[in-house]
Amino acid sequence: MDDNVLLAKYISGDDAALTILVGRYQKELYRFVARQVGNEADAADVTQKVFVSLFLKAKQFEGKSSFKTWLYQIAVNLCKNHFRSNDRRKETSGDDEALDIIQDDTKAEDYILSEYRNILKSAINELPNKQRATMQLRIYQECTFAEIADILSSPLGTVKACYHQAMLSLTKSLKEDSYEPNEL
Amino acid sequence: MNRMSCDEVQSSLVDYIEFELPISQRQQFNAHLTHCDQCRELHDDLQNVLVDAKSIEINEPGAQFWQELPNNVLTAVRQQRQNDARYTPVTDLAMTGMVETTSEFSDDGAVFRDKLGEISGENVLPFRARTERRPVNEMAGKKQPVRHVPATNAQPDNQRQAANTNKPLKPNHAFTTGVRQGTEQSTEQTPVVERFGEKPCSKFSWPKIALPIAASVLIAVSGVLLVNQSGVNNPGGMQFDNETPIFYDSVAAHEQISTGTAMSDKALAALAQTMVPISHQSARFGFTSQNAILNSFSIGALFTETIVYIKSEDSTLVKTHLALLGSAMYRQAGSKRLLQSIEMLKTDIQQDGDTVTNAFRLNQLMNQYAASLKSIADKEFVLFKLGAWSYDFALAALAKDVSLHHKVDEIIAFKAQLQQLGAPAGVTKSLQEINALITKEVMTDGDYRKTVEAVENIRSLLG
Repeated sequence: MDDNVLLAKYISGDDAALTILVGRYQKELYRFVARQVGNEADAADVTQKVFVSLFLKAKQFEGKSSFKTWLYQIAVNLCKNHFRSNDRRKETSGDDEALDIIQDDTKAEDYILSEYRNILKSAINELPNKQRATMQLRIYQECTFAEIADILSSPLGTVKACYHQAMLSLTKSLKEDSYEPNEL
Repeated sequence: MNRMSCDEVQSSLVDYIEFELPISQRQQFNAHLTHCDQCRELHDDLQNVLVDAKSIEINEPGAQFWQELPNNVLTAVRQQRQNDARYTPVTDLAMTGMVETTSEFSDDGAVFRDKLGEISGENVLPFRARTERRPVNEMAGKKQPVRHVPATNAQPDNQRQAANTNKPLKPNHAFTTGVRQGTEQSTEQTPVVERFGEKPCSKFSWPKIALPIAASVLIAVSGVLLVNQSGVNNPGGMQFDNETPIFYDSVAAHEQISTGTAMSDKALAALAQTMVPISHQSARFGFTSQNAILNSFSIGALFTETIVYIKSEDSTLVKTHLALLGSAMYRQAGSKRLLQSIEMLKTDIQQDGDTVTNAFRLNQLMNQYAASLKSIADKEFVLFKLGAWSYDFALAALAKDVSLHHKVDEIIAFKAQLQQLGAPAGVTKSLQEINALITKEVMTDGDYRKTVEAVENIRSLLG
């Protein structure tokens, strides 16, 4: 059943429609959120908050965009807020230092791979919000540029430029970190 | 075929990789890459980064999470809708368990379950019922010590207060609320915030609990600063000179904090430098530690209270309470980062009106602080937890919230933990009373009132 039909059913009092919609999008939304907040531990909470926020505002949905676009719009906003606070927390908590602990039984190559992965993740997380969201919507959620433009409420050209800039910045920053691509 | 320049190729790299380049240009692009090492290297790097980025996998939760999520969302939405329909705004926070101190908290000792996302900030209004304050210079449950006041300033406490606040004199008398510890010195009444024409809250209001806590925190900080600065040898606890004229400043400071007139950070810092402690820590029933005055219970309540004020968008109270929290963190060893975070939050609140986010951030800081306490001492952790819990609980009781019935497990857990830690008998007795009251089939207004009194009693013993 179409998303918009299900949403209409929910608004008219059919709670089962909510569970169907959540079930339909929960995994992809979780993956997006986890990448956005850069912290899988918080992703479950934020994912639930996105859904709750969406259904609380269900009556405000005008149908101008797709349900999915609206869902991601809410997710982007909540993640942005979360990422900002999380980012600040990291600045002051020195959590990154804890990553340096190497278990005795960790193989050297696994450790190197893990380090590369961390470098890449950090580089992505350090991108400006809009660039990061654009990039993640494009490469992980496989959204078209037009969909991303809707989600971010930005002109298509801006989104493309944003993505372009994100990829170049990422490549450049990884080079500066002596990252060797294609190692993962 | 026209050949593309390096600049043109490099500016089209992403389009090329994303297949957004028209076919005619792709051919030119390919031709360029075959003979330009520099552009080919850039292309390869970009392509490889893209491949690597795509290969980063996300660890997903187990099947149970996916099974439960739809129902969890549904429950949260329903609960939020119910809360939105209710009157008592602050109770919305309490009821939805912004700070939940049940098993999740005690499991890992670090996590308050945050449900802020379920809370709508739109319906939260400032909670300012009546305020009654306990004197800052009086310890809970103990006879007021004789103070040696310099002749030039020799006047009773209440007169001094009146002099500082320009308010009529009021005699000291016991709490009319039936609290069994502590006495009040002044009573101030401001209009009760009402909504949808419903009844105002009970005459018992949290501010009379919280404000002295807040004041005591700041006062205690200053006390420690004074001790540190003067190098007082103090093996058995903090000793303070009540003969100093700055004793009087504490009354004025308390008044300013209570009325929210201590607006600027500078003013608060100045107050912290000039105030003396609420009382000698040794008078505190021997339960709390050397740091009793600025104890974990008070800080727990202060955190929760500040979150509520953030949600209610009361900028003066937010600012004052964040300053108090900052002072509390300043006082705590190893809390420098938390202090920095609070300072950042304070700055952001001034610039950003997103109350949900800001409250969420403070909630996170509270979790961090709880985690740090847990790693140091169970007792401090339990006190902190109880402080945070008691504030929410009292607000719920003030609003005659039926969800109190669901708090029985928490009360039992607290009782057991506090007994084990050697808390005063009055605390566990009050918890027992609360338990008996909220498990009644029907709670009367009197029962709610008694519940608040019992919480106040706990506060007076531990806060």
